[in-house]
Amino acid sequence: MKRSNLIPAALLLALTLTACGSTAGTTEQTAGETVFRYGTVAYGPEMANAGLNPHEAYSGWSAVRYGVGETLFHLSETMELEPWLAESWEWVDDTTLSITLRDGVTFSSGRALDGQAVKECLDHLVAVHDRAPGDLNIAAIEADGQTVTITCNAPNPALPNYLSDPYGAIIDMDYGTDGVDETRNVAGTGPFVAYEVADDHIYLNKNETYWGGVPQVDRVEVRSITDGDTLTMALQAGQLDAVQGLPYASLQLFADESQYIISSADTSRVFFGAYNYETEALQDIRVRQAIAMAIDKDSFTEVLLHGNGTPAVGPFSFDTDGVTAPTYDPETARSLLAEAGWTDSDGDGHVDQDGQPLTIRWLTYPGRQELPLLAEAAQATLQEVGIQVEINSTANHLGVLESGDWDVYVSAFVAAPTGDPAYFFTTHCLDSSAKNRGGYHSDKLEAQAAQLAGTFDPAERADLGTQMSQTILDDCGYFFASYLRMNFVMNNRVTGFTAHPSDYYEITAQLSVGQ
Amino acid sequence: MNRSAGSYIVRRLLQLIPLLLGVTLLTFAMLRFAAGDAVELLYENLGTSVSQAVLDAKRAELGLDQPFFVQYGRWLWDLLHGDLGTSCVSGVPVLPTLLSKVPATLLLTGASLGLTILISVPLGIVSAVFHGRWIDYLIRAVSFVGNSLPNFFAALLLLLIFAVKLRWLPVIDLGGGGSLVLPSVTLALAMSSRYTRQIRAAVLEELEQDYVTGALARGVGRKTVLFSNVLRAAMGTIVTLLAMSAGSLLGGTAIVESIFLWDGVGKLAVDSIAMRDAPVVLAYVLWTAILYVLLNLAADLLCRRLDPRVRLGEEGQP
Repeated sequence: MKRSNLIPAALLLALTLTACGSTAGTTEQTAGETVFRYGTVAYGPEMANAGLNPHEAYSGWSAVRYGVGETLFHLSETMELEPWLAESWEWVDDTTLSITLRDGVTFSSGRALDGQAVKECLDHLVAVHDRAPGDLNIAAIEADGQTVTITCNAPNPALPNYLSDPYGAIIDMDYGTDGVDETRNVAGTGPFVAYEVADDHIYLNKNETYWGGVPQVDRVEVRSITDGDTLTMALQAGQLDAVQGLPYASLQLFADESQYIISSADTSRVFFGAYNYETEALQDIRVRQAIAMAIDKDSFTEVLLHGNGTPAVGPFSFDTDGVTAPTYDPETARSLLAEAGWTDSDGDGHVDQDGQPLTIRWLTYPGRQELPLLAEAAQATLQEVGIQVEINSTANHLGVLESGDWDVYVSAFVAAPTGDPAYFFTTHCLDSSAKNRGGYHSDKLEAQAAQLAGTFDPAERADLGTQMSQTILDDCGYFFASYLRMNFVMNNRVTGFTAHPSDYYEITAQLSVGQ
Repeated sequence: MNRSAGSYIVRRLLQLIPLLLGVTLLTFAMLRFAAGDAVELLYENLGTSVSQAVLDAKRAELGLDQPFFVQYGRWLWDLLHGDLGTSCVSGVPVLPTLLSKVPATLLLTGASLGLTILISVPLGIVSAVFHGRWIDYLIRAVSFVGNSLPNFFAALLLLLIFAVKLRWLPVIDLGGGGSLVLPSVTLALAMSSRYTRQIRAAVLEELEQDYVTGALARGVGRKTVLFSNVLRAAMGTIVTLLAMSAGSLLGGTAIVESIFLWDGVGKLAVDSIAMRDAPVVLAYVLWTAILYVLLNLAADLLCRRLDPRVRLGEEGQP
């Protein structure tokens, strides 16, 4: 380019950029239309929930969270099962569940919800999904009018709970190809209907024919925003109406109740530690008790998590009253260690036995911001009772687990995703559990688990779950540090948008955005 | 283009083949031998549990259960057939995914490079011409600060001032325009600070050449000498710098892209690496390797055009 052309070209570029920046952008919004703009860290391919197809990985979470899909059963605020698309249900025998569907429900495609539609959807789910076939263990499904009868291969008392998992969102399988069209859209029964589905956003219109009443918001825009600072500033700048997943440190910026509302709920995600029973010192229950008593859960949640967590008792956030666990008590912890033969013989501040200090290799991973903080907090408080902690916070935690070079493994886990207590114990605490990496064993727990497998009454199951929690707590088999508290922060014009302990339900027909 | 330039280009392009084989093999090996595969990470990060059978089935579906060289050989074979594979995480074909990110990256690269030229060329010249004067010190001090600011910090600072406090510009793109300004300025800030100093040095060096003294002694105007001779001679340095920066920008600027929700290749690359999504990471590596080679080649050719004394492919080339 000639020199004479360079300057005008540069000026043109500057003018273009200036023009671009002349007004803060907003998506077109027609007069009188109410739009809810929502930013979340919990949507996208990395979470395996991009899209709305419930039969694909975790995309059902997006379908249910954003008001497109609904399941047969719903979880209450206390994680109890309630009918949703189902009107009622009953166990015909140990393996057969009969579900009567709600009348007057239609998919956004216009098709009426009936037994045949549910059968088609669930048949496809168990044919293609990764987790559902194992959870549901379905042998056959029969449809008759508004009734669906599901027969399992073996007694499966948690079947209604599993059907409340978002993969159980009922979609019209006649829509598109196998229920999904070329724009990745599905036809659900929820209060909103998507009109644009992408890896980083979902845009929705209200479902004018929603069976639960016409939603109050005309349009919803869900955006994936993974940077916490961007999320914070977009809410501050008024570009978003609500956000999920703000960094804890940012929450205090929204403490002004005249401008913002914070909705919080303890989820069933628990931060907990498992012991490696190959480590000789940890085979002594007094040492495990001492460790549990040396962890100051209150300080951890109040100070390090800025109050955004609740000290845990057992595995379930919805069942803390019925169980007891060791509380922070450094004095008793020291006594227990001494009783077990661990004393500070050389006065270096660390307890030892036969000249060997008690050193705990604390394995965790940085993927969740709370875990390295918990490790540091525990390192400080365990030091007070004379236990040395060597922290290994690594993304390679699975490799270290396999190698066996660890004493305590602290992780985060959704203990009861569908409200049923069996899940945590069957995945972590039994001889057959895939995640029982430390080799925990309890004859009592094995017997209770067998009893739970044959118990169908929800109240009895809950009671048995409480007893099982107490069994592992009495053994000091695990320690439970805190429950994850999820927060929605929104401007004060938003109502009907509340955090739910299941983490499944976000956008509902009750959502409203004032002027 | 003469014959020597043509053979030079062919030679450089042929060098791409072993280069691409090398970088992809290395990347494949690093992904394979790093702890955790895409399947393991996906389920573990979600904090839910699936049976070993589910994990094994998923691994088999993605071919992750095959030996290392079989996996690499398959990927290479598919590549030769124009197939970059399918993402392990999203299940979407890689090529359209990568291509869908390119326009945003091109736009951001163009805008930030344009701004960089606009800022650094005049400032570098002014700083060199007024060498040792207060304006020189001021420009150098400002460029020092600009160069020291990490991108993420500059981005947050700009957002806080222009989006949150003044509300002149958007934090995120809601479709009303203006979203290009802050990411471009963020990238241009550091680059123009660096370039200003380098252009200043290049211009100063030329100003001290005998031909400049001679031209001025012959009565040629100072401006004419500056723009017709000095700047043209210093252009080689600028072009080389721009080529390197263009390569780096087109390879993506993950932090800036994440903060400004700019849907470019940088963010795609970082997300894919975190999830050990080998097909996407390999496609990204191919893209950046090819880009760097082509941009360096273009810079060499341009330098030769600007200064015919430059010999392509010989010692002393820029």
